[in-house]
Amino acid sequence: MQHASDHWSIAILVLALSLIILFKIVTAQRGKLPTIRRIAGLNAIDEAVGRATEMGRPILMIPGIGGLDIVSLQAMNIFGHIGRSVAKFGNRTIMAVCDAILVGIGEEVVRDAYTSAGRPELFDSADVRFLSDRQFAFASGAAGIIEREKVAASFLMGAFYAEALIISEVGQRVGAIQVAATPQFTQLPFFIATCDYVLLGDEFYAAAAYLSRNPTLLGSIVGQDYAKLLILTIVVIGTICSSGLALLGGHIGPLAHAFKWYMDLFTS
Amino acid sequence: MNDTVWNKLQSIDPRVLYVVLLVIIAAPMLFPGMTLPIVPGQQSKDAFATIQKLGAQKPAKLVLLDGVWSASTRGESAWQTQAIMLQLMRLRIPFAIMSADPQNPQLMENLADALARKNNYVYGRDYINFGYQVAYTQTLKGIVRDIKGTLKTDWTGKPLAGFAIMANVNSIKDVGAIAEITPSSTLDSWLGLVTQIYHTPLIYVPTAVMAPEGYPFRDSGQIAGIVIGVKGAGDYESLMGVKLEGTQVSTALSLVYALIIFLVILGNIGYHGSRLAAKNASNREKAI
Amino acid sequence: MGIFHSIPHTNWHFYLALALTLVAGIAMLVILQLLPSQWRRPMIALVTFLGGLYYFAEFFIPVPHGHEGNFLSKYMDSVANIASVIGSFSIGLGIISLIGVHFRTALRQREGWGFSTVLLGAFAAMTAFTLLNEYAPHRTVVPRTGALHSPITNGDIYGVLFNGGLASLDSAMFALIGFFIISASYRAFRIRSVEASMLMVSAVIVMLGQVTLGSWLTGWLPRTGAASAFRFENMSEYILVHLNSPAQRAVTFGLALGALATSLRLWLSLERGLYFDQEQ
Repeated sequence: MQHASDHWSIAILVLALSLIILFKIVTAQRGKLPTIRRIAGLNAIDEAVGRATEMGRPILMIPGIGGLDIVSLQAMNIFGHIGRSVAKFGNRTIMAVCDAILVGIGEEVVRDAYTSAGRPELFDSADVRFLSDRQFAFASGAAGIIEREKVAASFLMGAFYAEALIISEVGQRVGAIQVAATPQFTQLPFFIATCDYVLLGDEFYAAAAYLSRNPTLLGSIVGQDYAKLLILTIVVIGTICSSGLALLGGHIGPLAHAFKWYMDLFTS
Repeated sequence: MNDTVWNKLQSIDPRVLYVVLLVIIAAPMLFPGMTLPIVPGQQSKDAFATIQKLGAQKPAKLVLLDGVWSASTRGESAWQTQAIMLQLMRLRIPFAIMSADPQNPQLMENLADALARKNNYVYGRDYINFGYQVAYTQTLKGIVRDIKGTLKTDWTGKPLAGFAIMANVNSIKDVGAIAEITPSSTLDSWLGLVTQIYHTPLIYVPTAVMAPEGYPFRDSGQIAGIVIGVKGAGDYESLMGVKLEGTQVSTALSLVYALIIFLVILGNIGYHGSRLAAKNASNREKAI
Repeated sequence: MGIFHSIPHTNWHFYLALALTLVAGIAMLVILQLLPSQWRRPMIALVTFLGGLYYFAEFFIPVPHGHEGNFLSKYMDSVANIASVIGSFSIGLGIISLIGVHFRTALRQREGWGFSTVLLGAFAAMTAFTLLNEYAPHRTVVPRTGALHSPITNGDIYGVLFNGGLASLDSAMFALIGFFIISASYRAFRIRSVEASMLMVSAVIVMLGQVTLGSWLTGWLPRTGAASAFRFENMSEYILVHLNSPAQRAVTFGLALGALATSLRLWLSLERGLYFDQEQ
């Protein structure tokens, strides 16, 4: 589907979902703050950072191997919060990026974290490193950093593919506490096997809201949940229509037409 | 039994495991006769049948092979690509290679050239290589309406209009099927931007770890078949009645899976054994 | 709108356009520097909004009947090229960062300086021979001698570095995953609950169904009929299609909505704290 006019019903659905999300953001900004449930992996951040500080070993943050996209920016958002926690403890942060364009953003995020904690002198721009834009060269570099620096905590958040297991297994070997989050659910089993905490599915997108308690982000999470309810309703009605069509067999009548019309709204 | 035995079962040195793995992987490579019989899966059969149906039409429409893999995943992707190319060449179906990775054009070309020599396929007449496309999403959007205008040249820089294979290929309507050979999440782009417009059959050729992504789309009929990892390559070879690298590596893969299952069971025996031993020791102390 | 069409680089128009673009770019940089700080946030928000507005408008503006796109569609390539150009600049930034870190490490002989030296050497060699292979692939580097039957050219050395070095190392790193999955699964997969047992059983069935071993183990069962449901490949297919896929679809919906929400917040500059000043 390249344009809305290829399938107007889908375009209208996307607009409706967007409006729901924006509406809940606005209501949250006006004071109606929702609560969101506990996410174990995010509660462990302070524990991980504190442990790293006691051991005198640095913290590693990797925003995945994606480029400048939503997933990487969301990861950077989360790292901003984690960075502030690290800076409060006066510990060292290393960030390894796979896309050169994220070097600048990463430096801003980490510098701002140390500045906001009143420790700007602890920031070292050499600790935000571009390793390589090749997947396995990046994995090799990240594994090398983990082994040489003996990181005590690593946060693997963003788009990961096959290199996920290499990085997390090496982290497991040096005894680092590892918290992982990725929208790539094919990599979740590998993270679950090697990391201490894993954020599943859209907990990744909820993480920034959870950590900051920012009204905009909290409202966004609630908006997403209402949007899911809308999709669920559409799916349930679609199931009824599809089952109805199957039960009616080849019989053509107003009911069959109605079922078919509904099905055609959401299929290409 | 002494509980240290149970602990030992749970804590075998990883280096020992790696040596065992190495031996198990190497054995089918060193003894090529060591193969297990292959029963092709339904997903591979569907993919195979899609191409067979295309081959029955004369003249057959062009098949587009989109390669997203690089040297890192050639252990799976190369054999999948080889199997599909062999089927296309046997059916005399013209095909085009397009790449979303800088290493891929050369890797696909090497495979195509090696098979072309044995199957009397000629570059420019029977197959062509469009090369690496930098702006992937833009390219996909563009080829829907104008392949020659979007891609312009082959990977050596020669204009596409000069090749016999491109004579009747103008847009995606003139493409009979697309095979997406990938180790990444690129399926959504093809489904959203290309195949749903003219319902061009799409065959998903992922590495094994990415295969689950394709099942929902196969279930809904949006993809025509899935060639899953090296086993899929073995399935394809079995359907064509040949035994190439896909078959050999499938056997090695089977043995590795068996090793993983065995070690997991071993670890769990050790875990539950040690828990039971600790419980019995505690009961004995209470009795005393 | 002529500036959005490609200008052939064989005449003075191209050089004039290049010069004007450079001047405009420098002027824009100067203006941005001179802007009062309270204007920066609205400026960033405006540029972000305009950037996203093009794609939003191009998608939603109806396509006239018989056309392939609307009036904005023909600029898609040019707009995408802007992103590619910015990305190209960032490569230089990344390389400077990479070289700088390792050069300092090697020069001061800090811990791991040997690795840094190897990286710098490999970087230099690969860059040099890639360029030489592009522009002078057949130039002889090592002439034919008694020991060498044919001269070694730039192309030959590039081939060794690329196929023998880069490609092989890429494959080797991927192969490491096989070893790591052995140690990770042996260490981590413990059955501690009923759910874990169900997970383990289904994992074993799916694993065996994906390889020839499973087909061989249950090959004695008939291929059709009720009993065929117990063949590993059929049980695996059932789990993947009827159990795994619905869960996967649910996760995909959630992730897609998360991405939509994040995109909206970024496009409309509703995000705070990351790119702007401290949250109030």
